[in-house]
Amino acid sequence: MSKTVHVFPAGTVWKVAREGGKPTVYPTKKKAVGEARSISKRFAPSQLVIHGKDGHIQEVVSHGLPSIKRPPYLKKNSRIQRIVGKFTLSRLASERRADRA
Amino acid sequence: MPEDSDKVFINCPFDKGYQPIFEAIVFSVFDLGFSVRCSLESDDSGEVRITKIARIIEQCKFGVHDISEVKLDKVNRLPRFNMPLELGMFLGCKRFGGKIQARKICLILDTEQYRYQKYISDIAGQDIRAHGNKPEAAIVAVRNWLASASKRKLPGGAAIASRWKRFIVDLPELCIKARLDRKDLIFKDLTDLILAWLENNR
Repeated sequence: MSKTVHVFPAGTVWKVAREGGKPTVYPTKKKAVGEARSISKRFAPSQLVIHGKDGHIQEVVSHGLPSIKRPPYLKKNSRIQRIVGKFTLSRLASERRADRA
Repeated sequence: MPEDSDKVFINCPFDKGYQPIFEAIVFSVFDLGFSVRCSLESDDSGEVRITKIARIIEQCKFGVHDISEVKLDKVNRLPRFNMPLELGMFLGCKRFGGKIQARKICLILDTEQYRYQKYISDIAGQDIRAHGNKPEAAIVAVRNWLASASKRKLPGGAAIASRWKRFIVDLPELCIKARLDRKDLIFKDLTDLILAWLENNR
């Protein structure tokens, strides 16, 4: 089971989901982040990831897990971040489709 | 730049046969909240290689040195000495580099626990661990050593090995999406993918 709680936009609403768990829907980003934060703390060690519209990561907050340290020679690669973010979110979505089937 | 207690110098073979263990070590160091440094990190042809390695070693408090590649090269029938050389530089820096450098701590990895006694017996007394050419064993060795050397509360080796296995399953598809060649992944692309994956999937 993944230790990551994802917050991401879905049309006009925001969703909170963990891999293998049921997503919950919130009308605003603020409410979604607040709920995700409390879930992440409850399941610590864990981390909370806030995604932007195209899957890219806006913020990562660790709760009991060591923070990821980017080496000084490596600039943030937004393209790879977007690809991996989209990949992860699409997997979350396909899990939900499989649950419904 | 001064020595940094978050940086881990990785000194190991870079050939295809060793790639799974190299990837596992890099993954585990990042997952443990440390930063990987190694001679592959920049391709500045203007800097002499040994100068670059010395600069990186100077900046890292921790070092992982895999001396397992002692076999003869298939083409030249000669062994490669780069890993023992860089281990020697690390130990020399610790011994002669002054107060800050004296805090350096290293882990030496080999395939078998006591094999080093047959070819580099002078390193007896260092922290030497065997990985048996198994990436999971290398992950556990690095995790246990870093937990003890850094005195930080770190995730367990089994949890990191489990994440690494999930990453390895995802990696081919991620490479396709990123238009990268999984079989010929350069260090920068590998680290970009590991960091992005960890931020999304721990």
